[in-house]
Amino acid sequence: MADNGGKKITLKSSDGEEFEVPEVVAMESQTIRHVIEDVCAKNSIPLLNVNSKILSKVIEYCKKHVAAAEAAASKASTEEGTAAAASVTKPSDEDLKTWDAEFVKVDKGTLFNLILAANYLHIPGLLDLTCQAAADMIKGKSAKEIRKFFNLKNCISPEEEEEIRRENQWAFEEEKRTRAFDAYA
Amino acid sequence: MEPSSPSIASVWDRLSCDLTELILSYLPLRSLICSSAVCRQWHDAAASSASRYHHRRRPWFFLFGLNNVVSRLDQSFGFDPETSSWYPLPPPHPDCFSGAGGFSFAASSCSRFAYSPLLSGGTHPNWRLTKPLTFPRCNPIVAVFDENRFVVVGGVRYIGGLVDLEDRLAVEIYDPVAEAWEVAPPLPVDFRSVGSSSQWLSAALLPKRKILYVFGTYSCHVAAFDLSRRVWTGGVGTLRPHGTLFASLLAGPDDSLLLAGLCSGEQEGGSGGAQPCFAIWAVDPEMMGQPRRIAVMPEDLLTGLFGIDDDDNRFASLRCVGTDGSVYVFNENPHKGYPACVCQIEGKKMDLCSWRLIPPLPGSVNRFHKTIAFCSPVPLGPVLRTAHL
Repeated sequence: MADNGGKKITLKSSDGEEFEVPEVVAMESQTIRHVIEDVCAKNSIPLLNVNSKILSKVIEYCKKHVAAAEAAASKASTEEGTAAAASVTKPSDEDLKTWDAEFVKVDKGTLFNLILAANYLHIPGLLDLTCQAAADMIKGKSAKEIRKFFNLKNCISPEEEEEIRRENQWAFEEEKRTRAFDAYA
Repeated sequence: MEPSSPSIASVWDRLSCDLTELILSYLPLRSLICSSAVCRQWHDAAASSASRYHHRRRPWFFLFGLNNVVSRLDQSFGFDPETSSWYPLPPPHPDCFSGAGGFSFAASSCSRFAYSPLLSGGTHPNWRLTKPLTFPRCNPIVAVFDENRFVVVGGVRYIGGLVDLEDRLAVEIYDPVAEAWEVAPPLPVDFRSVGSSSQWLSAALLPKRKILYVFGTYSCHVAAFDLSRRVWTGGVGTLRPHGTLFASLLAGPDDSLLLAGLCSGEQEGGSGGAQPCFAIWAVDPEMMGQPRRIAVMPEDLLTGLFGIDDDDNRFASLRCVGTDGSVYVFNENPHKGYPACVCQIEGKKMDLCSWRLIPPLPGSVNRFHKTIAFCSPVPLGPVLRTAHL
């Protein structure tokens, strides 16, 4: 990785910790990119909405993705864009996907904060990854299970909920499996 | 930081609308609907998310089976490619004949038809009747554009029990809000000889160009109807790549056009005896140049669906439907349980084509006299009515 001679930037978390990262890694965040490009030389960029724990995870993500992009680009140029290059980048795509999958195996509190950070810092890849992970936690759960898992206040009346179920019976079928159900009555 | 304290766990309550909608946009339809029953905020977010991120969801494959004698045996199924699952749905309308663009259509008479948004209304779907057609007909092609305008093409008119061949039925366009039909020139005369009932035609609607292409399954005639100017443009052409026995014209990803059909397997040089194959071609919407073959169904998949007899009649029950880059091929033979496969076409050059067998229909499936199959997106507006809560 181009750690030698590349320009460095300091990011400061909300709880005062400082992280020195190569500028190219920090620019994975479009928010930070705008600050660097518009406001020019900044010694340290304070990120008031991101704590150190989350910021270190975000930096880890950005470092990995910048490194993967650089590796793919250099392989492509050495192979001079032949078919071999296309087949060589494929395995590293898979590796990155595996890495991403491991990266989001975190508790839901951390995931929540990662989503907020990815949104605030405008890092599209991270936002996509974390939202998909949150959606994966929702998939397959019943409304009640979702409520419990995310500790959400239930403000729908039983009648309203029953109406939603009635209108979309097919979507709630599995829950009705044990009840007698005659669709052709 | 205390990651497992209750105050952290309940922060999901404070997720902004935008982020809630974004997360929900990653859910397949069934999970989205379950989510809409979680709380008021999620119900509203689910509805907004559905329309905002509509383009993200792949169209469903619907199969309606009708029994001419015992209507209690009618069944409906919907296949969601996101979850790769079939969902038994409430029984179909007994006069159902078609579906497209988020609606299913039923016609109890030749003069008008009923329409209902797909998947909405539970066991009592909200069927609305159109005003009477200017030219009553049976079995037309019905396509949907601009979200809820219907365009009716072809169909047959019966006089004294016989098909009226002389009459060329005008194209009619329906505005459900104004409840009025607009008449436009009929299908070009070249189509008359091969029949203009939906049995012999397929149609592909390209929403950005606003053109409806109509294609003769066996004749391979193609014509284009400009929905903005309400006229047929460019005359009648023929799309018959070498060796094509029959085919369907389908809308591809991103306003592209696809041809999908059975080929005899003959090579250009004329050496016969090869196995028939099912192929997909990319067609230039301007109709310039030859169709470009982009995918071929793997042979084991084709034999899995249709058997390995030498008898080419086994393909008589082959049906192909699709839209938006999904191509479904299935066997309408009731003795086989309606097996099907799908090809997903992606990529700018439509070079990423992946075939897979889809799971068998769920539960016990009756034998039907008539099956209606179509591929359609499921716009979720009518399914998740915000005004409700």
